[in-house]
Amino acid sequence: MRTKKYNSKLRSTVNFYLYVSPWLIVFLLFTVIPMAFSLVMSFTSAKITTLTTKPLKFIGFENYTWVFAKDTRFLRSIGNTLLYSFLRVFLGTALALLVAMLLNMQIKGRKIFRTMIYLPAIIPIVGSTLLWKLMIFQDRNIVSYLFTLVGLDKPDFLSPERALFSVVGINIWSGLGPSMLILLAGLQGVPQDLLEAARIDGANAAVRFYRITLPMISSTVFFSMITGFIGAIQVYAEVKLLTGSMSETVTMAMLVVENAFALDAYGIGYASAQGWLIFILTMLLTAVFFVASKRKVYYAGE
Amino acid sequence: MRANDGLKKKIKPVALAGTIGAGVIAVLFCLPFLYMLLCSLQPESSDIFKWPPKVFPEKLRFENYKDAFETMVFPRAFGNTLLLVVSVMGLTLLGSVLVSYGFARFEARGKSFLFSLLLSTMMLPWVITMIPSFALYRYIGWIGTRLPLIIPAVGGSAFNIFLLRQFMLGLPKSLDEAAMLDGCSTLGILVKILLPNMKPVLATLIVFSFNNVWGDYVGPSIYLLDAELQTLSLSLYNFQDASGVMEWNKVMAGCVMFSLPMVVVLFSAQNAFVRGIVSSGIKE
Repeated sequence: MRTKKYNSKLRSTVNFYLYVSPWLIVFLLFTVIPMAFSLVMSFTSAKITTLTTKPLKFIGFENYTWVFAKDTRFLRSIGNTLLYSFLRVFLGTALALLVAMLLNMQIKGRKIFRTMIYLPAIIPIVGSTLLWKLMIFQDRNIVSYLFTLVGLDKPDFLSPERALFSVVGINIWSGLGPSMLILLAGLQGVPQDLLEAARIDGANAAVRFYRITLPMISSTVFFSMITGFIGAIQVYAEVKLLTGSMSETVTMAMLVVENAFALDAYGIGYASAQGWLIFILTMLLTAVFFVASKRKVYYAGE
Repeated sequence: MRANDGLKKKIKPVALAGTIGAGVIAVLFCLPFLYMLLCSLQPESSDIFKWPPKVFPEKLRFENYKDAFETMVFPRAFGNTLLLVVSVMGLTLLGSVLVSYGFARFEARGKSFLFSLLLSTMMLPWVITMIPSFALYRYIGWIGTRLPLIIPAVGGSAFNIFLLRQFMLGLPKSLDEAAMLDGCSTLGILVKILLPNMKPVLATLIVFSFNNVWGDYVGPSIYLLDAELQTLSLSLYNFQDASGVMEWNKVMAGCVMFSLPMVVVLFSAQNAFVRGIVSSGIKE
């Protein structure tokens, strides 16, 4: 009896490790080893061109201190990326929630509306950035014309003050579909009888939303925001393809790639240090998100 | 769906406002597509930049599509993209299904640690691993091949694994046990019992991964610089560089051709796709 129990435990362990082995092996080979390598390199002055020909030269924390002491472009990119991420996540989630609530009503055409709103999310990034470059960044563009039609000045969406906001707007447009669907799934899990009971008790729509709907979907909203935020803080192609590397919109990830591969840049040692700073920042901000949401998020079954 | 009939009359004005609100947003979201289509049929690129703009083409010029088709070397780029989509998506799904099955159905020491490790990889900036990986691939001679994009897909993706595991946890274990008593192997249980019950969530993941790989720009821009291997992302991107004067009507035709397959995928999978998200337990 004992050995039988032991055997089934062993079998379960063997099965577990067998099934997770694809992930475990790939994780070790393509994540853990590169990360260790990257950490080591971040303390060196390595360049991509001389990596295999020259021995690594260790320079201590110089790469890290250089970022804060001298690299104003990178400091600027931290500000850009954070502003972009907060605007994109908060405005994007608010709009996605509004749309999801509309689509959760008993309205005609909800299926077709749902697909239409999802549509921007499926245009490949190169295509959608070209389209928006044409629509708002060209000298004579259609959106500016619409502004002049209602008597406003022809706006310059690529001006230093506006470029980042243009980028945020475009990316909210293209990213709304998936978060809208996830929130819609959350809304469909809110028990109708609860809302109904509150309505009969005289609670108006606003009270029902704040006291019932929002708490019930808080874990979905949180999931959507946290994944959105982690994605946004690493943003690269969505900005680079729209505005190139102008300093008003340049993001952290863009500078890491620039430093790693451009010939006259600081090199992969420096880029690795920047990569680690992004990682630390991401973890810190994720932790802040978790702490800030702790009392506000409700998990079913807790 | 859930509102009972007695209430319907009272809800109506609100529903009307909701329909209008949702409709306006949906139309606004689709206007850029319409503009893309209209521009792709303009006879001359300069027609797009007339002031006031001529939104509707005077004559529809379908040759723009033929020109874009040639400039982008469309058949080759299409084939390359499709090959990448099929192999990366296939391997990611295969890996994710196997790994999530391990997490959902077997107990072992270290399991909860590995699961939190898996989830924390979602926080990992891609730029950290990208640089040393690039150096590694260069060392083993994979630069200029598709392997750096395909091979790591075997491990699945954390997001997929998380979703599939949630879904599997929701399937009753008694199903497995009954099959086990019939002498089914663990792999047999996964393939014959669990997977047939997971169609919606699989449809969701297929649409997501198809979309991700089809439109990916970053991966190919790092590893597939060889013209022979170029995907549609790269050939559309290079479209704008090659022709000294940007012919926007043709570029837009290229955008339409590039987006169309995704539209087909979305429409053909849309119902299962949405059900998959609703039932995936993402909300937990």
